[in-house]
Amino acid sequence: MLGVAAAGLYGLLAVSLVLTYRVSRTIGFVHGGIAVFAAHFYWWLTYDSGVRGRFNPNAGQGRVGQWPGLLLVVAAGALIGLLYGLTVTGKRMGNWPRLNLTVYSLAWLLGMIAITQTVIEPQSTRIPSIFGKRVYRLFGGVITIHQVATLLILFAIIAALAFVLMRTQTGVNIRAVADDVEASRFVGVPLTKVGAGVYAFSAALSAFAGALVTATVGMLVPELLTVFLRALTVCVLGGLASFSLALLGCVLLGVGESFLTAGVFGQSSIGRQEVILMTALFGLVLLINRLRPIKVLEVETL
Amino acid sequence: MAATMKRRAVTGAVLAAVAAVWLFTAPQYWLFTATTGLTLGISTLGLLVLVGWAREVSLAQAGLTATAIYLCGFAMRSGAGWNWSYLAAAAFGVGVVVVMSLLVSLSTAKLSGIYIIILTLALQVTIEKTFFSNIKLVETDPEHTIHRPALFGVHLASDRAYFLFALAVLVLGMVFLARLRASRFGRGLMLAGTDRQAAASVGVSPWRAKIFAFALAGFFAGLAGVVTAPLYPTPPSYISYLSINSLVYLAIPVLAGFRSIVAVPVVAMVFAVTPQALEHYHISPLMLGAIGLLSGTLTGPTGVSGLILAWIHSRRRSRGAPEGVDLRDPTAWAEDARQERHARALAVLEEYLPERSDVGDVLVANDVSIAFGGLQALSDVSLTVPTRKLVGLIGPNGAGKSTLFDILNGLRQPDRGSVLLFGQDVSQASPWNRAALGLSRTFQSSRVNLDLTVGENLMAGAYLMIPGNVVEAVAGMPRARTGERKAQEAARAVAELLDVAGDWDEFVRNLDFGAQRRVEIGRSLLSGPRLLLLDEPAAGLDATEATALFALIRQLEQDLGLTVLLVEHYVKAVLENCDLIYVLSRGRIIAAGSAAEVAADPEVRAVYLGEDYQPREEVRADA
Repeated sequence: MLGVAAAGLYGLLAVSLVLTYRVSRTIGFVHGGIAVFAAHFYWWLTYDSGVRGRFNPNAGQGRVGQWPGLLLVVAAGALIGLLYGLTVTGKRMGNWPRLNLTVYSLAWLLGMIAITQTVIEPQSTRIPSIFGKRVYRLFGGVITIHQVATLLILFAIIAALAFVLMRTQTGVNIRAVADDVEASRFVGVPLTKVGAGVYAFSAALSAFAGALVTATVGMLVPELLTVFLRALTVCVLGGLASFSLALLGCVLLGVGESFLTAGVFGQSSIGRQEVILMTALFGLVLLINRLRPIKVLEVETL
Repeated sequence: MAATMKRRAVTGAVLAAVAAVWLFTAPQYWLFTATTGLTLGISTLGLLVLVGWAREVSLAQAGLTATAIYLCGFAMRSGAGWNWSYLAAAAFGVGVVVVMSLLVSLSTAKLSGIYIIILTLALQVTIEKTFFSNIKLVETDPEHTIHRPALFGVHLASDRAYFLFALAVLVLGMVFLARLRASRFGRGLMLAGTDRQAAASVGVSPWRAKIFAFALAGFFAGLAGVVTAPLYPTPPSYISYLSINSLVYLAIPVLAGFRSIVAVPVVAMVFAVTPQALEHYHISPLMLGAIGLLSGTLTGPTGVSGLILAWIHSRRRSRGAPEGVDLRDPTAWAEDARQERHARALAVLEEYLPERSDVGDVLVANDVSIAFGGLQALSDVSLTVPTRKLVGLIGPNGAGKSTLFDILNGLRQPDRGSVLLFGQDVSQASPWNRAALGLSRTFQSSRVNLDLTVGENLMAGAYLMIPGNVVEAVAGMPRARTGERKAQEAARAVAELLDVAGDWDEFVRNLDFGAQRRVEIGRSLLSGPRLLLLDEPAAGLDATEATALFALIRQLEQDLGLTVLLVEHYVKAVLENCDLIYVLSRGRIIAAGSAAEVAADPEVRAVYLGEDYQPREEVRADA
């Protein structure tokens, strides 16, 4: 149960990654950069030594309160995603090979981290959860309100996405682009509009995740990137295109982590836990791929 | 020419003099920074192979470099370490890193690149959580320092000596890569990076190419690490080797581009020196990396060096290259000269190609079927290609011709049926193993590397025809050197036959579509086929070019004894030239026979040729 609760940590980022993979067939590394930026921006807005303001009744605690701060962070994330989406789905880059688009995405990731670290000094502090400090005891374990809220939000977003994708014209357009970009273009799907919209939404989600994750892992870039890697790994379980398999991956990862931390498989160092976890996850990925017969040699290397 | 050589020699001498003066006058901290630039250059040379040539992305190069640093340092250190000699410690460090790199590539060799990216990132993070958090490896206790070694009687204690040592390693690495790039292995790697199917069709295994590229990347990361290890008295901070730093490493070959080996260490040096030189501007390596990745992406795979080389190339062209003989010159003299060159080229190719097959039927497909979901693309297709014949496969669009080619070539596995090649059952064989038996193919769309020259593209096809292993190729041993020379001669001959000899040094990107198609056919010929599968060879050619191409194909079949199976929509040419014709419609063979038989078949006329089709008199009576 603890593991399931922890799954929400990776789930939000995983949803962003799957969503953008579906419309671009490339890994949205940019989401990692947005999450790092969001974590720092959220800290700068809500906990850096700001001045007392209209939205900040807690003097010296930040420039704005936590909820307005969160809203600003999400809006900034959406704006970055929109900019990114407009470039990668535009006429110039729309037909680029996947390798180039992936490197472009990595460039944004690195650029956002570089800018964030230059402008905002990295902090090792964890920001208290926006949802409070309440904890629940369940089956002998402790679950925080932060974990519960994150998980509930994740399920709500998945439900909303499922509705949009299956029941609306926007969803039809997104699925059409995911299936065949060229065919979608011919039947009049507004590719740039759909692509940029998906990127804006998923980037907002990544920013949201970045802000929330500060309560769990803090703001150090390597730690934030580890969370991003975890999200990437769980997406791989579903071939990067399935929400349900990605969520299953989140749960498996969360449960695996809880077992290792609790010493179910014996006491081991963090390094050893990492190796065990990564080996298990990638073993699963390789197994899935081995079970799927390779019928045709892929043309593209990436 | 002599003036150019002289200018280059003078430029080289001036640069060497400036470097020498700098070496003896530069402050110690600059020497140290420059040495770190050199080691960064060594590590990123490995990424040049991986990213530039094999077109794969690794996000673990910084972590792998650091692994070698810490392992080598630990093995060298007295007290807490193992107190090994430098060479033993270096071999250990490089070995471990190569094995780690190999493990990643072996486990994902058959998966698409996205898995590799994620797995390399996972490797980087695992390194961070294991090696970087191992206190024994990263401890900075001044009691346990690493001493710079003495190699072959030369002590490397001073920063100047160590700079020269790192420079020597870098230069050796560059020479190695330059030799490798000019060999069949380098060309094969680049072809596999650009197009796996095309590579497989000329005998290059894309899986092996990928694994080889990862091993090389690991080797260079390890080499950089073991050169860096004694640079510091105690292990350097792991802060410079985190996952985001791997992105900075990646930015260097992306920015430099894959065409130039020299550009990589130059960019690496800029990355190492700039933050210190422009300290007041707070330019972080991460920012440089981001700019590098963005610029590199926008300039394309050839990077900045590609832009510079293209500029030099265009300048040379505008100055006026020596005019060759116009191959389309209609005068009798020109025609005689052309025929003489063609005859010579055919003779060279005759000698180059392996012995042709004497098996009765070189290719037999039995009851081949394949379905894509609910669509039955091929149903019980059986086809026989007799030796030393020109066989045509025609049919309407969507009939399944290219799918059948894919199955014959081994790119697709059929749901049912078998394929015999030169009498051997190759139903389960890979395309590269079929190529080794003597099967080569071209594709419906042009599949050449646009960023390479005509000569480089043609030579990429000669992978199977040049003997020798990597060591022989890089060291230029006689067997490999002779094979390389013969392949060069054959490639020139093929270029002559296909009328692209005048464009030998031209980038394929600058050629028209017809010429690109001919280059692709030439690449297939260079792989030493006994059976050639040509998928719409005349597509994109004008009528004159198509006629000339078919004449050449006929000549290859008659004079060189090649067997050819071709798919073509240029029905007139097929009917005029092919000895045997199969007609495929909706995944079934509906007719087979001579041109006259096929042209007269009512079903063929109904579904493909049209009821009004009139076979011309000149359709060969014996066909």
